[in-house]
Order: sequence, then C-alpha cells, then structure tokens
Amino acid sequence: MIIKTEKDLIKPYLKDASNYEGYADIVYIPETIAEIQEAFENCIRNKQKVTISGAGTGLTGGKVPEGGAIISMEKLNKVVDFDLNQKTIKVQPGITLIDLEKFLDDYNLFYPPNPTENNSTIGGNIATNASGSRTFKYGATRDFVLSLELILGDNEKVKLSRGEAIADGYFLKFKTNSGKLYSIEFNDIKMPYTKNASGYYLKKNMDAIDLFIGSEGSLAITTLAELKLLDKPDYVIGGVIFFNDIVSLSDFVVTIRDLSKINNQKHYSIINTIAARLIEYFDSRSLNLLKPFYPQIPESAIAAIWFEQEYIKDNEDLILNEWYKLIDNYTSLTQHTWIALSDNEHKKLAEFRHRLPLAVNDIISQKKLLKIGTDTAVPDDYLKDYILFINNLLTKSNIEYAIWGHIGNNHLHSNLFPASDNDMKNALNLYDIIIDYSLDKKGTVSAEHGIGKLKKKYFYRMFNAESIEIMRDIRRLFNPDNLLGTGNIFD
Amino acid sequence: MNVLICISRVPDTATKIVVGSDGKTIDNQGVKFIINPYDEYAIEEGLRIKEKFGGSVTAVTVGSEQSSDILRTALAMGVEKATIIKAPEIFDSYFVAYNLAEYAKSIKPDIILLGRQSVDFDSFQIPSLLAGLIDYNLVTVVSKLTIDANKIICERDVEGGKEIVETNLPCIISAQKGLNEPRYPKLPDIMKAKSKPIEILEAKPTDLKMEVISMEIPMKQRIGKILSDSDEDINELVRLLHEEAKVI
Ligand SMILES: Cc1cc2nc3c(=O)[nH]c(=O)nc-3n(C[C@H](O)[C@H](O)[C@H](O)COP(=O)(O)OP(=O)(O)OC[C@H]3O[C@@H](n4cnc5c(N)ncnc54)[C@H](O)[C@@H]3O)c2cc1C
Ligand SMILES: Cc1cc2nc3c(=O)[nH]c(=O)nc-3n(C[C@H](O)[C@H](O)[C@H](O)COP(=O)(O)OP(=O)(O)OC[C@H]3O[C@@H](n4cnc5c(N)ncnc54)[C@H](O)[C@@H]3O)c2cc1C
Repeated sequence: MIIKTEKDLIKPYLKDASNYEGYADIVYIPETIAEIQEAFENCIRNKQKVTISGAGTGLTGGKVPEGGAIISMEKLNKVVDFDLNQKTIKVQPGITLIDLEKFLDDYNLFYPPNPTENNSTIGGNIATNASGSRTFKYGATRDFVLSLELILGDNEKVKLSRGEAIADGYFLKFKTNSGKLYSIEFNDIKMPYTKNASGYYLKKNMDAIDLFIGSEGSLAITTLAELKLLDKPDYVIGGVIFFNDIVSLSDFVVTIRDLSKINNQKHYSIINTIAARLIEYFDSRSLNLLKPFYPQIPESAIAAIWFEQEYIKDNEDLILNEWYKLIDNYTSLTQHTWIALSDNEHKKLAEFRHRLPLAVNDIISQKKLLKIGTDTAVPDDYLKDYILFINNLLTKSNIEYAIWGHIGNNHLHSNLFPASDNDMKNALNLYDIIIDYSLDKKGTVSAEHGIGKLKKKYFYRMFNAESIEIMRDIRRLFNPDNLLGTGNIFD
Repeated sequence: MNVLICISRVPDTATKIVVGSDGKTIDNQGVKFIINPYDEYAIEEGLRIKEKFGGSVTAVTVGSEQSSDILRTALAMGVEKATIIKAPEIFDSYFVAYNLAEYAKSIKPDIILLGRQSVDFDSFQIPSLLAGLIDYNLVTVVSKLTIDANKIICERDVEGGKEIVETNLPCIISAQKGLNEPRYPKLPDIMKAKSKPIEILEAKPTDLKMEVISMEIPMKQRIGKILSDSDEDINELVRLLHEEAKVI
C-alpha cells in the first residue's frame, strides 16, 4: 500500500470539482481489499476521521476531507469477474466509467447509467446514486447495482445482494459476515417524487442494499460492486431540435416525455413510434456559448432539445416520420433539426454536448467569474411551470448564467456565474428561490450530485427534524464514532 | 461548375473488425457501414462549390446495392444525383478507379472530389489511378481549396509547413481533414432523400491487379513508455510517477 504524508503529495487529494478545498494528514492508497481494511483499522485505532476518495469529480465536496485520513480508491480499478451470459460484472470501486465502457464495448454490452463525467468512478457513482441522460429511460445507478461488498463504519464486513434483505414495511434487518445483526425501524419519510440524491434512501419494503446506495461514503466503504448490464441497442437515432419559443418547447418536452414513458415499457425492437431514451435541454445562454464552435446553430434559436431513441433498422423510416411530424407541430425551425444515425454522427452530437462545460470553463477563467449550480428536480406535473419559472427568474437577473440538464427527468442545472462578491450574494439568493420552488413542488434539492459538504443547508430544509433524526440514528448505528465520511450530508 | 464526388462505404470507425473464415475478407456480420469520413469533406466542398458557382453535384460509389445508405446520406446533405456502379463481390482498387473513370468520361465533370484515403483498405490509390485513366490534373491531400476563375489554388500539409499548389480545370482533388466542417444532415432533407431515385449501373469488369492473400488483426500494443538514463528522462520519469501514476 502506498502511503503519502508529505504536504505536497497530499495536496492533489484535497479538492473535488466543486473547488472546495479541505485538509488531511495522510493518504492511504490500498491495492487490495485487505489493504483497505488495514488502512481503515489504522484510522479507527487512531480515532482519525476517514474520507473515501474516488476520482474527485464530485460537485459537492463529498470527497473533500475536513481533517484526518483519506483512503483513495485509484488503484482498485479492476474488473474482478464478468459473466457474459448473465450480463453481470463485478468491479472494484475505483474503476472509471470510461474504462468500464471500453471493457464492455468488446462484448457489445453497456452499463446504462451515464453521468456526463465519465472519468468518475463506480464507487463515487454508487455513493452519490449518480444519474445521467439515459436515466430517463433506464433509471439511476441504484437500478443497476446487484450486490455490494461493504466495510461498514464500525469495521464489520457484509455482502448485500439485491432481493436478499427486504424490509418488512418500515422494519429492516440484516446480518454481517461475522453474524452481527442490525435492525432499523424507521417511519414514513417523505421522499421526493423525483430521482434523488439527497439523504438516505428510506422507503416502505425497501431493500437493504438501497440504504447504502446514495449514502455518500458516510455509512460504509464500497469494496466491490456487481452491476447489471444490457445489450447495446441495434441502432440509435439522435437529434438536436431548435426552438424559438420557450412555451412551445415546454409543451413539446412534456409531450415526448409522456409518450416515451408509455412506449418505453415495450422493447425497442417492436416500437415504431416515439420512445426517447434521453431528453436533454440547452437554454439560449448555453447556445450562445456554443455558437462560436457551431455556426450552424440557427440565429433565431432560443433553446434546443437533444434526444436519442433506440430502434431496429426496419423501423427507421416510420420512427423518423413520427419525430418529423411532431417536431413540425411545435417549432418553426424544423428545417434546422440535426439528425445523427451513424456512430460517427453520434460522436459529433456528443462532442456538441461535451463542448458546453468546456465553453463554460473558458468564460469563467477569461472573465474571472465564480460558479454555482443547482441540481433540483420537480415531479412530472410541474415540468412546464418549472422551465418557465427558471427562465423568467434568471433572465431578469444581471448575473451571467446558463441552464441545461436532464429535462426528461424534470431536472435542470441552473449554472450561475457571479462576477463579484456582491453578485455572489444575489446568486445565492436566486439559488435559494430555486430550492424553495422545488421543495414547494415536493421535488428534491439534489437529484444527482448529492449533498456532500456544500449543500447541507438545503438538505436541512428538505427533510423535517424527525426524518433527519432517523437518518442520524442510522448513521450512529453503522458508524458509531462518526469517523467515516464525517461532515457529509448532515452533521 | 459540375462536380463529381466519389464516395466509399467503410465499416464504422467504432466497429470491432473480425476477419472472415476465409482469412482474406472482413466478416460483415453485425458491422455498420458509414461514408468514409474523408469523403464527407469531399461532399461538403462539392456542395460549397456548387453554392458559389452554380452547376450540379453528383455522388458515385462503386460497390453493392447496399451502398444506397451512404448515397442517401449524401443526398440528405444536398447532393442532387446519386449513382451506384454495381461491382462483383471481389474487386480491387484498380477496378474501382477504372469504373469511376468510365463514369467520369460519360458525365465530364469540371472537378472530381475524393477523400484522401478510404479508411477500410487505406491504399491511397484511387485519386491517382483515376487521374491517370482520364488525364485530369491531380492534387492530393488538400486542406484548403480556393477557386478563382479557372485557377485552382490548393494548400497541402507537408512536414513542418504548408505547400501551395496551383492547377487548372478540369482537375481531381483529394480531401484532407480540415478542408471544411461538413454540415449535419437535417431532418427534412433526410426525409426527402429517402424518396429520391438512385441510379444503378453495371460495372465493367477488369482483370484483378491485386489479390488479398491473407488478413489479420494487429496485435494490441503495449502501453509502455521507454525512457533513457539521461537527466531529462529521469526528470520526466519522476514527473510521470508523480502526476500520472501518482505513486510518489
Ligand atoms: C463536468 C461534470 C459533469 C457531471 N455530470 C454529472 C451527471 O450528469 N450526473 C451525475 O450524477 N453527476 C455528475 N457529475 C458529478 C460527479 O461526476 C458524480 O458525483 C460522481 O458520482 C462522482 O464520482 P467520483 O468517482 O469522482 O467521486 P468523488 O468525487 O471522489 O466522491 C464522491 C463521493 O463518493 C464517495 N465515495 C467514492 N468512492 C467511494 C467508495 N468506494 N465507498 C464509499 N464512498 C465512496 C466520496 O467519499 C464522496 O462522498 C459531474 C461532474 C462534472 C465535473
Ligand atoms: C487488393 C484489394 C482487394 C480488395 N477486395 C475487395 C473486396 O473483395 N470487396 C470489397 O468490398 N472491397 C475490396 N477492396 C476495397 C475496394 O476495392 C475499394 O478500393 C475500397 O473500398 C477503397 O479502398 P482504397 O484503399 O483503394 O481507396 P483509397 O485510394 O484509399 O480511397 C481514396 C478515395 O477514393 C474514393 N473511393 C475509394 N473507394 C471507392 C469506391 N468503392 N467507390 C467510389 N469511390 C471510392 C473515395 O473518395 C476515397 O476517399 C479491395 C481493395 C484492395 C486494395
């Protein structure tokens, strides 16, 4: 095991993509599961806080230590077992999405959850219940985790397989390898009617494994994960549709979202109408950032939707026709709709999508701006209202911003780029208004990035005191000295 | 100005290639085909020439009837006429060039555009063979093209710089990456292209000038770095161990 204690060598481990910086005394880089155990036991013995580090692409400071030790998963990045027939794979937690994808490409399989940042690790994805554009059709990380091997905060080891430990109503129990029994009684906690990455997952008749998915490294260390895989679809249509009117765009999105939800219940090979697997949004500010690289973006466009749909070749004409008719009903910019059918063309659309965060980083460093971003989602019924509300709210402000996100899941990132401290105050104020809006609609304060250390304030607003106390009890049960993931989600 | 664009149908660059059981051909099972990426630059350039000078743009491919898929993409991008010259199952580069030449003789284009190379067989032969067969001027691997009356000015990337070449019509140009940014096919144009006719001609046979004896997949390269014991390399090693391997 590599151990780093020199300040210079520890420094690269103290930040994540939020830029929040912490401090620590030691970094352990285990190369085996036994070494994770060894590192963790050292920390317990020294009563030292422990923060688990994945790739550090997190946006809420979850992996940022506030003292103590870091256990970095960077060397535990291998495929341990792969079953082509069952379409399952066992991986170490430090494997990145991009490496997993490369491995699966050879077998024509894929792992559906696809957070945009493909340098992130499976361990980090599980800790934050990460989701991505394809979550619209397939669900979040949670839906593809079959089993987990965990070291709990009290140093007990357990393997949890989906389906093996199911709660009886609100009563959950399971045993660890050594025979220690944990039982948890919880109440009906109001979980949002959206995809979610805030707080512990607690639902009636839940599976024990789900408690640990999304627990942001505060209950257990994931040492091995077994994931479910799918066959790659035969063909995929991709398209970017431009709009010059936000109301029509909202109506269009609601229509394709609802149609797709129904049609996606069938296998794509028998679908010859609209059934998107992803629906993504770019607002006018995002398009402005992209225009220097993509002069093809029509001048009058004020927003765009990117979609993808899986299909078989025989149905291509029918499906394209359905999209054509529908698009033409909602926008006068139909003739500008870009379509990708070959992998090569898809790559171009993916580059278009990936160019956006890069373009944002460019203007931020050019103009020396700051950045904060919301991660709220609302239930289905409020999508149109949510789109209009956010666009109205931000156009009125004089702070630079760009809105994009997984609109099919009613989930948008309002990215604000304040230029001064005073701007920052206003930006935080706007942020609060957006949080209030989504809480009012029974949505979530964080749909995919997690709470980490930076969004606790909003977590406290999302759940009532009683629910938070239940979560706190659960944390005490698995992590009695609160050494693991200290400072994440709640204090 | 009348433009002819020669396009080749190649396995998608993301496809995993498997050698067929005869050890000489690619196993087409499950392989998706696309327009040769360099040919997209040729198409885009052809469309721009037509938009600027008027005239017509035709796309042609030598291959099976399945090649209609790449011609439909060309039609969706804005090409007006599309032709397949139907080839037998086994053919070589000379066969392709000969049939392209015969076709060119019949329509007498002012300018013929091709890709610099076809990413399946990578033989870089067609543009030169074609120029020989129809006696047109030829400039290969062009990264910038300017047409000024009858004068054609081409930029070519050469080791460490650029070469400027001037020629006149009629001529053949093979396109390099960077020549332009190919347009995206638009939905209404894709729909329209689906119902446009594609002309199918029979190829004229030629003797095979080349024969594939065997084909194999290259061995995977090891991802290693070899460094010497010079001072520079030692510093580099320390940097790599620190920044990339993060072991020190
Ligand atoms: C440009 C960009 C785009 C992004 N897009 C998306 C997106 O579309 N969807 C999305 O969901 N997120 C997105 N993110 C956020 C980020 O990629 C995810 O939160 C990701 O899951 C973090 O993974 P990581 O490996 O980088 O984890 P880290 O940032 O290192 O850690 C995140 C959390 O996981 C914990 N953790 C890591 N490994 C383990 C383990 N083995 N056991 C226990 N706990 C562990 C850490 O302690 C920490 O709390 C994006 C980030 C960037 C920079
Ligand atoms: C020895 C040999 C055997 C072959 N056997 C077969 C076979 O059995 N079956 C088979 O399908 N293919 C076969 N091919 C490939 C086929 O002959 C074409 O040449 C191939 O599609 C293009 O390869 P290239 O490397 O010669 O083209 P290059 O010279 O590298 O291509 C340059 C440009 O020429 C144009 N071009 C190339 N090919 C075509 C075409 N077919 N139609 C129109 N324009 C074109 C394009 O603009 C391209 O960018 C063989 C090739 C060789 C060298």
